[in-house]
Amino acid sequence: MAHKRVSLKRDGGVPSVELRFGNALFAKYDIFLFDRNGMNPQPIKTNQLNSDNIPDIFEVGTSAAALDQQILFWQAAISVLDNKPDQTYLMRAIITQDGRELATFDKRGSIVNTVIDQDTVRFVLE
Amino acid sequence: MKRRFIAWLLISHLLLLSHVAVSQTAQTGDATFVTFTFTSPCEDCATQNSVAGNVYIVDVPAARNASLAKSPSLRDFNLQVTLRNDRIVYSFPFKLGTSPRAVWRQGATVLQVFFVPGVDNVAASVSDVGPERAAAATNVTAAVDTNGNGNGSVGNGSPISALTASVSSPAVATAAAPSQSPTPMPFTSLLNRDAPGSTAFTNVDMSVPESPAFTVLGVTPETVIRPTSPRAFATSLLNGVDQNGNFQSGLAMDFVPYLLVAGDDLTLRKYQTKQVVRLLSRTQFSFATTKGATTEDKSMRLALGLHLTLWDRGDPRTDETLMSCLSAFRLPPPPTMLECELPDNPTDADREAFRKCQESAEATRQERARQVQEAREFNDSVSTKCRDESRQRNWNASSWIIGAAPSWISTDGQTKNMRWNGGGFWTSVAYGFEGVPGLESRSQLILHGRYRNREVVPDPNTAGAFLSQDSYFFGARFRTGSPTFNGSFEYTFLRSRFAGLRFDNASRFSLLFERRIAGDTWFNLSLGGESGRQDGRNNGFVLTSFKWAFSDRRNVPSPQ
Repeated sequence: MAHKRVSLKRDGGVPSVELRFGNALFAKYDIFLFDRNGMNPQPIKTNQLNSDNIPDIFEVGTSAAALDQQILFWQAAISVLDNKPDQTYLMRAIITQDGRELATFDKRGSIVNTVIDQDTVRFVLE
Repeated sequence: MKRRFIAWLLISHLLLLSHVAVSQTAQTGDATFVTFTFTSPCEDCATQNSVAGNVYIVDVPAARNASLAKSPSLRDFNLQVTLRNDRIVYSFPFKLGTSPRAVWRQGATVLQVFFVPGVDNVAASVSDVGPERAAAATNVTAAVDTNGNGNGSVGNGSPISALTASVSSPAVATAAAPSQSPTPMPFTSLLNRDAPGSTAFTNVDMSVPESPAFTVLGVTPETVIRPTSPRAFATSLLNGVDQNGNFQSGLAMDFVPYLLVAGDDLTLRKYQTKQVVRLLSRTQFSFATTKGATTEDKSMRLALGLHLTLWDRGDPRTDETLMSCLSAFRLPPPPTMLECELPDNPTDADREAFRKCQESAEATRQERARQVQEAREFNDSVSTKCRDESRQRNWNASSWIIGAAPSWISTDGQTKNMRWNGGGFWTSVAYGFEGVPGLESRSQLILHGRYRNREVVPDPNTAGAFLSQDSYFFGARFRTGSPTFNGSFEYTFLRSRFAGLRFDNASRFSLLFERRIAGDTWFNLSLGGESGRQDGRNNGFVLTSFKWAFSDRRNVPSPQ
């Protein structure tokens, strides 16, 4: 399946990505930046927790122009916190540039104990 | 005086040991029995003879899903299953001159009720540690009485449908021959669970039902719809109403409105820092209907339920130790390459990279799947362990929960003719002695109150008849324990009246102690007393039962 795309303003600021995990579930996550061919992953942030006091929002790269065609990859290990039946998870990534929300990407599904999920988006300059 | 008492205890214990050993030996030939198999130890289960005699009762929490089997030699077995609040009551008659004997085995996961001929018609309970033998088992079918009154009709004369449930059984059940083990469980008298102040069951349910609507209607639905999105909720409702506006029979639904609407935006941090969000996130609604399935019975009953956790110091989502434990999660290394795709305006180098990517795509995908699976398995074990530890840490945490459920009935099944049919209100406050040395990790005090209006209950004086009852209930329980010792004190007060009659008050207390002697052998001691005001007269506290036994089953729920 082709990578999803998000358009950046060439002369805009450095974009940010925020990860949110719905239904008050626990998550540990990594964010990597891959080159235009989907190789050579560089860590943006790794082993982050959604349960600590550190905001789950991070700047990506050093400039918008340098991100052209690069691919942002994130993965998370999500866990339920109780044994309630029929639980679902939501992993949401929000891409912003200069305070403006560019796109939101959701991955969701049912969860019994833990799941590992991942998603990608390719940056495209306007 | 003290020495005399101890001597009396020892003598009576020895006498009872010999009595049980004789009767057990007598029945090893052709065992006639019923087997209840539970998926986990049935700590809250109880057995008894009915006060009228010739009916044996097994009372288990509704959440326990027992599979039943009977021995081939047991014929004309007439099992009745009654749903009563949050409990399932199995009752079955036995022949005169037969002594039912309950045998708990395999750490209270298997209960076998033997029908022993030729001994005193007194119920007894023993624990089995002896040899086993296999016997073929036979499926039994039970009629489930959904209104908790025994025969499927309610007090106002409107019958309610009785579902027929097939009680499954394992293909082969293991029949135990009660051994000559030191397992006496003498009862001094037959016990009537429904008698005011009865001490037959020492562990009164003091919890607020998770789904009050189901409790008020006396139903334990096999399938509960739990929509997790507004769309799923709408679909569920649509599926629950027929073209004439009648609800489908047995519809049961549980949902948390806040999670339905705002669950996607509810992050863990938001939950931890905002009290209102916590309250809303734990406010649960339940909805249940029952509808007659025959032409004679067109009645429809409906109940709404509200379950509110006002305060909970044992909430796993605010348990920092749990979060710290889960931080040990592993994530797989990032894939060496992502899904092969040419970038926009590809160069020759991009095309070459794309070609190489395609060549190794399958191997990369497999390697990634293996790494994800490995991490997932590790995380599963970490999560399970961390949550178990959290439960054990917070088993006695302070909390305050309330529940309420109004209900309505339409005798002709039309929604427009719905009228009030009573309801219930529950509240439980638990105190975990946080910050109190010596009690913090091993003790808990629970105060419980409930009010039921127009509850349909069996008429204690007329078999097969049912009455409408209003009741207030107050209970207090203190329990403390360690891995080798458990103790519990319980006091309950019940004020109730049948329709058209005066209120009747009854109270009871019980004290339970148990100490592990060795392995799974526990020494149990229980004392109970009751007082009731019947016909305007108060009875003083009377010692009603005294039990001293060795068992492989704990009677007092142990602190974790």
